[in-house]
Amino acid sequence: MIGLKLLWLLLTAGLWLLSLMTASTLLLGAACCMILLPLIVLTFNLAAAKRIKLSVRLPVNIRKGQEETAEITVENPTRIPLCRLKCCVRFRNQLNGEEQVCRISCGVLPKKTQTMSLTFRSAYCGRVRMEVLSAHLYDCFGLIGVPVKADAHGACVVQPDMFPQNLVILPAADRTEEAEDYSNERPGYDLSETFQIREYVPGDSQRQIHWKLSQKFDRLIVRDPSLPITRTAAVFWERTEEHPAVRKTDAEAEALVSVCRSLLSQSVQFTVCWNEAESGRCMFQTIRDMDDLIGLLPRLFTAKASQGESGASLLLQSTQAGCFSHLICVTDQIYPQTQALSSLGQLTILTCGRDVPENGIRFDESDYAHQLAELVV
Amino acid sequence: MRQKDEIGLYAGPSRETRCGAAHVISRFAFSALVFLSLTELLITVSGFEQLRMGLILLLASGLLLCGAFAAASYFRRESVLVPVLLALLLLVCVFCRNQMMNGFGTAWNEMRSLWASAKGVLLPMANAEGQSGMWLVGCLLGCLLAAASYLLVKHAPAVCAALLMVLTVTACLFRAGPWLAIPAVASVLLLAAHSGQRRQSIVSLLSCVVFSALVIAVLVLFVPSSAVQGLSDQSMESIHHWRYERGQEILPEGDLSQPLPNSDSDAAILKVTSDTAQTLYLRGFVGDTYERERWATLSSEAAAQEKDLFYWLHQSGFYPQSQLALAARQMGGFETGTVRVQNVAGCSMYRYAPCTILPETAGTQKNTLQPSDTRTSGWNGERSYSYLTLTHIQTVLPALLDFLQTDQSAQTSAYLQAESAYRAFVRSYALEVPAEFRAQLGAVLDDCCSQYGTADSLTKEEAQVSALAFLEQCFGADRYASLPLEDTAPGTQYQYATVAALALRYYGIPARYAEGYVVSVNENEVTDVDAACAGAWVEVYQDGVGWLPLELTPGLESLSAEQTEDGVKPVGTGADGEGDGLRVTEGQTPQEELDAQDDQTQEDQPKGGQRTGLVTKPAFWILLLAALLLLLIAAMVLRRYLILRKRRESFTQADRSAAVGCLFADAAALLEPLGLRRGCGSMLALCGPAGEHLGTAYGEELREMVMLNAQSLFSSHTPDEAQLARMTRFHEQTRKELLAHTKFLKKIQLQWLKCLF
Repeated sequence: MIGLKLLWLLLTAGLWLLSLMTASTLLLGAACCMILLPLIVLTFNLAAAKRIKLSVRLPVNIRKGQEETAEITVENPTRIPLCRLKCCVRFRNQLNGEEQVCRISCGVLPKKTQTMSLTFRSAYCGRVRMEVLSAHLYDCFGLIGVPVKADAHGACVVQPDMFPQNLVILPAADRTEEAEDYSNERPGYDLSETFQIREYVPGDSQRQIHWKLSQKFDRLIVRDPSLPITRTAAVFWERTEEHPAVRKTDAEAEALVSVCRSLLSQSVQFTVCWNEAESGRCMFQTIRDMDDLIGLLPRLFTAKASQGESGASLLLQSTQAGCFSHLICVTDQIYPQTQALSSLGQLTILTCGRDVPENGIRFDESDYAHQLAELVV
Repeated sequence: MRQKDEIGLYAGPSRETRCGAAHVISRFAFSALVFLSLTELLITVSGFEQLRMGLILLLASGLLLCGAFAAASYFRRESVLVPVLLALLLLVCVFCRNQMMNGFGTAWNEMRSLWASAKGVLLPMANAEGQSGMWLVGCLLGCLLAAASYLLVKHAPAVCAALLMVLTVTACLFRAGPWLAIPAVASVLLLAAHSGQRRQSIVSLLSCVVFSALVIAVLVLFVPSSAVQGLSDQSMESIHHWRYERGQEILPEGDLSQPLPNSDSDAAILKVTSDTAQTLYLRGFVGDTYERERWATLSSEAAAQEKDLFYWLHQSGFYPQSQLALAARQMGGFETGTVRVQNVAGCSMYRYAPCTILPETAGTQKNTLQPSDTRTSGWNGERSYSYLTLTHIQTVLPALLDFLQTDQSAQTSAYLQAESAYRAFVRSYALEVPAEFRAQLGAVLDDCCSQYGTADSLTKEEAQVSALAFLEQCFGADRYASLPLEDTAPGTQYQYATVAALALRYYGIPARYAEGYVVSVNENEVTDVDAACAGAWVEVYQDGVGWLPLELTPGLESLSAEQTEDGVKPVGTGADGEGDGLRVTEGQTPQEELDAQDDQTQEDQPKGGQRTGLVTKPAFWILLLAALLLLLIAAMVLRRYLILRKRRESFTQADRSAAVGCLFADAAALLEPLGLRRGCGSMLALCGPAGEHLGTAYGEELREMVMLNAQSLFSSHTPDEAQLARMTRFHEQTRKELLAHTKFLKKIQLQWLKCLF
């Protein structure tokens, strides 16, 4: 803006000089316009400023690194042309705190609507919030600004890239798992409940052969065991970080979501917990299916890193001992309370920090997909 | 601190991946406009308009290339065009080299003519035959300018606007013309349309064009062009005064249409020191042509017609300003002295020097066309200089004239050849008498020479006698009333010099009008030259030795050697008048009578209406006010920018405690215009009034922020990011409240004078 004003000064001085040197009425008029035009447009802008409406439109979900377009729509219900509306727009990844501020401007004809387009992309997953910080109406030369009410905002989720994972859930030896439901989608290991009856195929265990039916139908019939569904698994994301780094946060988020998907693929219903910086509390969300998980992401990705009391501590305060059969904790660093989480359930710690506890699995931000491809909890 | 390579969020204005038709048209229109502007600038400084075919081809090829660039951008093939153009240029250089060189030579010669006539710059001539290569030069220049225009418009429209304006002003200083409005208007339109968004450009541009058209139409209809011309003239005069004058103007510099400068001050105008006692005619302004009561230096256009002559003369070392010394150098046996001039209050545009100056110190330049006076260089001219002059010229001059007539050496012949050529040039303009002078005094002039025949058939001596008789009749005891300049300069040296110069011209003697200071200096003494020494005199062209002052002006002859019985002698003819200089053999006015007449003249001079300094010129005040206004705006913008930047830095500093404190202090400052002044008390006392004014929630927030500020100031615990963010939000909220509860004028004051936000 300062450059534009200096340019205006240069042009005005030049035009006055030229008009005096050439005695040209045309140039004298142009020189007068350079001073009069901003003042007249200022009065128009003052009249129009209160009636300008701004709105923002963003895609709901985008992929990492994918360039998308956000739109700011300006509605000019007045009969005054808007020479230059300048908006200061902030994009903020609420998960890792990254920010970008950019400025965009447009002109709007009377009684028309104008759309300004911005492109954005994020290399890291999270929830990108777009907010119009300020908007000003300027004259043709961008000299005097009149503020316009700017309260438009929107958000979109940058989806994490999930990696294939073979998750093995071992029964918790020291806990009684009272399975109340069995999966309708896939067989399991509980021979006390039949998942389905089918014909024998080579490779089936002899223990699965249903001898009575085989005799009755005169061919080999086997039965598949059912998979018991437990509701007591939990995935906890420690969001307390002393030195947050965007790549680690991104790796943690992808690891967490991949684990969640693996659990869902095994029809395990579970609870996702995390600590929120703003409220200073631990949040819980039960996930039953993929829709729940997708619905969780916008909320989960607003959980920016906090400092102070650890999430593990908050989780211990919020829950009772032994309330989960399995607890998978994704964390950047091991706090004193982290190990105490084992009182809540069978604890597995996935950490991308340097300290790896006894029951922990370390991953790093560059090779976490490979490191967590096989996971036994 | 987050590493730069870790930043993964990017946001920016949308890049237009496809160029639509409207975009192509606007790009073409602007590049064509800039191309025309650059062409006009080229024409202004090169005189290319004289080469019609070249100009037409330049315009055609440039516009075509602009169109080609626009089309290429539509099909996204811009990158192909530049290599193609370069390849074509290479082919042209290889296969049409001679034609191209000839074309550029022709263009150079046109530019040479223009530079000589516009600025008096003498450039060497290029070898060119006809205009055979002009088509090629036109095409090449057109392509070059079009490519530059397109690239500037595409990549740096703001820079392009600034560049155009700077070039236009520069070109205007070189040669002002109405067509320079094209680049000036183009730069304004570029500024109005300067944006990354196409739609904004259109709205902004339309508004600018419509409103400008209205203003210009009003100006054209209601402001007469004479008023604009008057304003322009006054401005130029003001600028001249600002550059070269210090205080009151002393000499009219040829403008005798207005009341003469009248100064009774005895303050020194020049301080002159010489190592020889002599009388110096320090010549400043020289009037070669007379029209409408104004003497003017020979126009550069007229002089430029003889640019080849002057180029040759300068190459030969012949300069009219130091012709006498050059002639003396042919003979040798002369003495020189040093004169040092300190210009205290005179016009510094001229170099005050006598006709006896030596060429090495005359301030003349080989590549500059200066047929008459010597102009100083630099924005404010020169105030201090020294030069060498011939001394005892009274004794040298008669022998010199004899030597030039008798010597047959090659060197003298070469000099006389140059002098002869220059004399022919002098006679081409220094014999012109305006028609109004002929009409006014033609009968009297004819009457004075009637005894010898008609005015155009007189010998030199007869012409001298007739001129003296005429002047005696005009300025004698029974003074002739109907003379030129009776309204503005009656009875003054300026009127006398004017009438004498025109009368001499009428009788066939080349003469001109000169202004300056006549001073008698003693050996190695600083002599103060005051307003009493200022005046005008006649200079006549003496064959062989050049322009010499003629003592016809009342009051001046007392400074030189006394009159002889043979008549009036040119300066330097010696006390006994033995030289071969001009002689006027009859009717000298007695000294006493002239003194009395001079006293009478001083009484008759108009008391009011004298030309004083800038204070009486409205254009000066308009310019001054405009400049001050612009300066003020620039200063305010810069000041606000710096203050806000410093404030932002304090808000985002690494020390969070300090940042919180700065934010709170600034919020408190923002509250003051709302009537919530803390004074010397606690901010807690403002929570109640703030709650009443701005809502209870705000009052509560203020209370918490006061506590947070106290914590940041006095606690060893550093506020965390959340607290800093909260304070930032509070600061922003306070700013919004201030904006919402403040009237417009107050808002302007707070924003631009107090720089609160």
